[in-house]
Amino acid sequence: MLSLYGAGGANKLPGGLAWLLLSLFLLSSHPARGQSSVSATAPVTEDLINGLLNIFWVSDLDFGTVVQGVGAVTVERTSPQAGKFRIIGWWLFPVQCTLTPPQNLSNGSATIPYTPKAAYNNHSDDPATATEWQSPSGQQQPFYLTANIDGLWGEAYVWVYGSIDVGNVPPGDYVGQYTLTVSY
Amino acid sequence: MKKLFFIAMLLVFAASTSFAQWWTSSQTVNATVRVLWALTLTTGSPGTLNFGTITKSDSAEVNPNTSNSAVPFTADGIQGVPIHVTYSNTSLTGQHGGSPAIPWTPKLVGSNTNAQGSATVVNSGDWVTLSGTFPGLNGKYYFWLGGKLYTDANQAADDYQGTFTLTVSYF
Repeated sequence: MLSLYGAGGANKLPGGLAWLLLSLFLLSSHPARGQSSVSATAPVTEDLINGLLNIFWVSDLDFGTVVQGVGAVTVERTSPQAGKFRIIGWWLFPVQCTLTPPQNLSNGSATIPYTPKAAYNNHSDDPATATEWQSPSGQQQPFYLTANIDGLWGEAYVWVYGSIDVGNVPPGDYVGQYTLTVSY
Repeated sequence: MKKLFFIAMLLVFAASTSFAQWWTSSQTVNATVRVLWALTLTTGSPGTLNFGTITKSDSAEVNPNTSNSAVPFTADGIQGVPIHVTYSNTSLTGQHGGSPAIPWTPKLVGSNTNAQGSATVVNSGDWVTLSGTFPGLNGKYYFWLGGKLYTDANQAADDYQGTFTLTVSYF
């Protein structure tokens, strides 16, 4: 059985990369001699990595339960109610991030205005030392995934937070959706 | 082996770097809030507690359970949620200089159904519960205000007025 672990047995390869290496190995062999079957293994981490650049949902942005007409309700980035993404990928390449916040929260008919805020930390999982997004929506200056480096893999974290203005809107559940797109 | 693998990876991806955004991923996060009914208090008709016309050394009473002169209030809010009730009142003072001021004792009764006759006494500082059990819907509590007063032996003839303030809160 061909092991796809590194020489010291310390570095493990994600599934996608393991198959690519396996493909290169097979192409370099001699077809006239025939092929023996091989098997490969890949580690499964806490978040299933499915490519070179992965982004995971960690938590929703939750403004909680309020009454009509309460006015401004704010969630700070250090609050456990802040929304959060986790980015895992190769630290060799800078990551381009584009964040699209909701314009408001809606129950399908009424809306609640939302003032978005976001921040990222590519050094540690710590919102207190995170860097504020250049603008509440849109592209951020590219950065490297240098938090929690393990071999070729690194991480970064993005928090979404901000404030809403609850007027005399009908009672009910209001929702808006953030989208974060990352690319090399 | 690790070096060869690394070089192989660089060769593979070098061919790809000529394309912008050669690897992209997206994810979404929701922003949510739940809005509940605010607590409001409205005064019904009649909007004034009228003890009528009396003489000195006399008394007047409005029975909150039976009198049409009792003043109704309605609290609206989240079904099944307790609310705190407090109230205060001022003595009735002569509008044209009449004296002395006439103290009066309010009597407030309430119920989570609109049934004046069976409403029970609510003291200032009590907690009562809005009707219903489903927090997503609007619940109510009904109040009726009556009271009693006595005039002085030297009470001057005049029109006397005072105030009653009822306050309800979730906390």
